[in-house]
Amino acid sequence: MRQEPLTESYFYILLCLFEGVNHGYGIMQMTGALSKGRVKIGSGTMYGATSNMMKKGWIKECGSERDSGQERRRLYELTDIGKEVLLSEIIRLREVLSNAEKIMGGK
Amino acid sequence: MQKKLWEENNMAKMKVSHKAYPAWEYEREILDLNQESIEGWQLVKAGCFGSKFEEDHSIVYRYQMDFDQHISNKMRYVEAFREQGWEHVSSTFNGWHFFRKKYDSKLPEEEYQIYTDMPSREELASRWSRFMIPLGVFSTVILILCILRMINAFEISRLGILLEFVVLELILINGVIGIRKAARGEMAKKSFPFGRLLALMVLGILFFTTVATLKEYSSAEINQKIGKDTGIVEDTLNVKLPDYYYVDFVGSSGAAVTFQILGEDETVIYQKNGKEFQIENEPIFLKKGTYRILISYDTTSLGQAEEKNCELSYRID
Repeated sequence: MRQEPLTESYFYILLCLFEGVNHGYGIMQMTGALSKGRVKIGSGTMYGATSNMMKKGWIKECGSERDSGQERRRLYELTDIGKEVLLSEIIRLREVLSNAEKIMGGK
Repeated sequence: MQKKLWEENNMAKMKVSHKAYPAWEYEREILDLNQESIEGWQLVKAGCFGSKFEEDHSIVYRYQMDFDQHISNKMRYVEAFREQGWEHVSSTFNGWHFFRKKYDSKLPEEEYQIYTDMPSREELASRWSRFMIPLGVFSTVILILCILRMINAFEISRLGILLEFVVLELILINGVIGIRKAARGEMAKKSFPFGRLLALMVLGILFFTTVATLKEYSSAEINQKIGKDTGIVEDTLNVKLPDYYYVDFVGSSGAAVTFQILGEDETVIYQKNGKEFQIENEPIFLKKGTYRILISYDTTSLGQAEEKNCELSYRID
């Protein structure tokens, strides 16, 4: 079945994990940095997204690490399926963008 | 004596608030919790019909509520909130979770939201709506059964039960629509008089149960054989509740039968006679009082064989 477009939250979670293993807080910070503060992923949204993606097999837990503040943080990593989903979405976005430029002439 | 004074001075003042919020007014509840915090009352324990607060003027919190009945990993859930500064305060038995974060006016409002996009907000509304499905199905089935029964045999005393289920259905529909609106950030203009409506419905249930019980005890039935010497069968019907009653009568005999219902002053309220007839589910409106049921048989013309098959049964309820 054809994949539904991803929400920005889902997209950025996958994108951040493409870069490497990370925890929720790190994903949230990286997303904020990449989007220049525009995209924020709240705790509820993050928990829901990670739960859903784990259920779908796009990401999985892979241990935990202690950060500077001695907090133990749960780590996630992208699976092969997740990588596929991310790449498909980027292809879709490229197609959408190129069509927009075609019609609107890159203005 | 001294120790007791010291304990009293160190015990934080507590209060219990009995404000009840329907699920679809959770955003209103959040606003109220935020206001309580400003006034120095911090939530300690949340409950469906009352919450406990502790007096503490030293800090102001902002609150958020989440609805999720099926949290597979409670630790992972609480951590997801803790890592963004949300402290888990309390959870209710039916799946509502309360979080709080220290308020800092320098931070943007977005900091105090746990859901930051519309799809995840709508998912909260969907989770609650799904939770209501069993109740909705149950209520609809009962409502349909009530309506069917009413069509078949109308009784005033049953109108109340029907009304209660109609109201329940309307509340559920309003709830499902309302929580979706709340999740999308569209707050209802007026607050729903939930507590009052609930109290009214409970009173309604008590009232209509009493009425239905009175109706239950206002019935008469007999099932017996008729002998050559039977002649007349008498019974009493005590009507405790004015309503529609339904008469069922089967008089299988070769003899002529007269079936009568007489009022207190011996007036004939209802009468039917014939040789072998049936009365099936015939409605009759009866006022409160004691009625006499009189069934008279003329068995003189019956032969021995026919007599064996004489049966009488009736039911009025």
